[in-house]
Order: sequence, then structure tokens, then C-alpha cells
Amino acid sequence: MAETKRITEEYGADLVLESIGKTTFASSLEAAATHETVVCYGWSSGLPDPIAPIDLVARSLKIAGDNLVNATATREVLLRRANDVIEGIRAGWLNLHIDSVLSLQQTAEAHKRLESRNSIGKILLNITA
Amino acid sequence: MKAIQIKEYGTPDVLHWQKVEDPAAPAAGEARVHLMVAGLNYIDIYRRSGNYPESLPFPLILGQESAGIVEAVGEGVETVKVGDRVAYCNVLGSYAEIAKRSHELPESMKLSFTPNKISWLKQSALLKNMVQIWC
Repeated sequence: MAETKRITEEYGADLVLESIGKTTFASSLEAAATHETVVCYGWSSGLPDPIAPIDLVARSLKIAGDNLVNATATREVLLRRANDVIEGIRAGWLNLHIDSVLSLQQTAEAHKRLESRNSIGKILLNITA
Repeated sequence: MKAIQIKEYGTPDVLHWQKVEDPAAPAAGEARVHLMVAGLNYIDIYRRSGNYPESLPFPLILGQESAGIVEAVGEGVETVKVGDRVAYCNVLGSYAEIAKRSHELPESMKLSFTPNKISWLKQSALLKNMVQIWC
């Protein structure tokens, strides 16, 4: 949150994508700029504590929720959006960060790494290794 | 085939690498996929530890994101064909060498075409995480 305020010269973020939940939700609300939106789509640290509607009023904040199933409800939309992402990766303006690649046999180790919260980016299992 | 199974909830130690029966030939509306890469998602941790609000039968193959090659299709499948590179998410069973997928599932859980000019690793990782954010 502090870093967001620093980078934006105290303005705050136009959009906050919130997938961590319990440990970050409160600071995500603080990081959002006045009139802007926090979109919740995951809770990897657990469900966030409840808030009261009045907590949104002072800075006219909005909270929204979304998930992949609803956001890709038809095959046409799924392919369009997936292809946008693939094209971004191929063109180089979108960076997909892979934390680590382990073999399928090392799945337990991969779980430990994800649970340790020391990973940044995607952990993958190479099934053919 | 080989797969990672759990027979009880618990720590990562309940994840066992073992030989299991191959999925049967695909029925109508299904495709069988030879998996290349699987992605970890935090929901896998919840499911392994029993902290997700659902009841699933043991033994259970976890994992819900993967990419691979279609090796067989059942009757009536038109969106993919044998040899296609595909990716999918939100369906259990990707900690395995082979998986069977149904086209009766909601659209976002279906097999998806992916171009050949992107690596297997990126292909596996992009669907659940990056497309979800993009949406």
C-alpha cells in the first residue's frame, strides 16, 4: 500500500486486483484511489475480514468480485480473451513470470513451496520430466 | 499411468506418486489428453488439507490446470481433434500423465486451442492466472 501511494504521489491506484484476501484486503482498500475499484477474485491467505458499507463511503470506493467461469461464459469470449493474452506474451509486452518448474514426482515439494509463500509467479509441474 | 494421488486430507506428505489405471477411452463428448505440464493453484492446498467447502471421493487426483496433446476424442467432439495442443482449467485431475475431459462442462472449463508458438510452460500457466486477470 505504501509503495502504491509513493509511486502514485499519494493519489492511489485506479484499479486494485485483490487475490490474496485475509492478509491484504484492508491495505488493498487503502491503496485504491478515491472513486476507484477493488476487484476480488481469490483468497490465497484466507477469507478477508468483513467490512461495513460505511467503510466505502469516505472515499467513494467500489468493491467488485469476479471469476474465470463467469468471465468466459461462452467459447467465443474464452477464445478471444485467451488469444489476447497469448498474443501479448508472443509480442513481448506481457510478461508471464514462472517461479519454478518441478517434476510431477516433486508435487509435495511444490506444495511446500507454494504454502511457504516464498514463491513469486507460477509454480509448474513438468509431467514429462 | 503415473499420478499423484491423495487418500486422506493432510500435509504435503499425503501426496503420493503412484501407478493408477489409465482413463478409459473417451465417451461421446469427451477427449483424452496426454498432459505435458500442470500448474499449481492455491486451491490445491485448500483441497489437499480439507479446507475447501466440498466433499470429494478418495482416492483423489488433485490439480486443476494443465496443458497437453489430445490423444483421442469421443463421438460428437468437434472443437478439438487428435494432435491438438490444448489447455484447460477448473477441472480436477491434472497431477497425472493422462486426463479425460468432457465437453459437457461450462465453456471456461473446456479444452482450448492454443498456438504452437508458445512454450508448454507458458501455455499451462496462462489460462487460469493470466486470462482471469485479463477478464
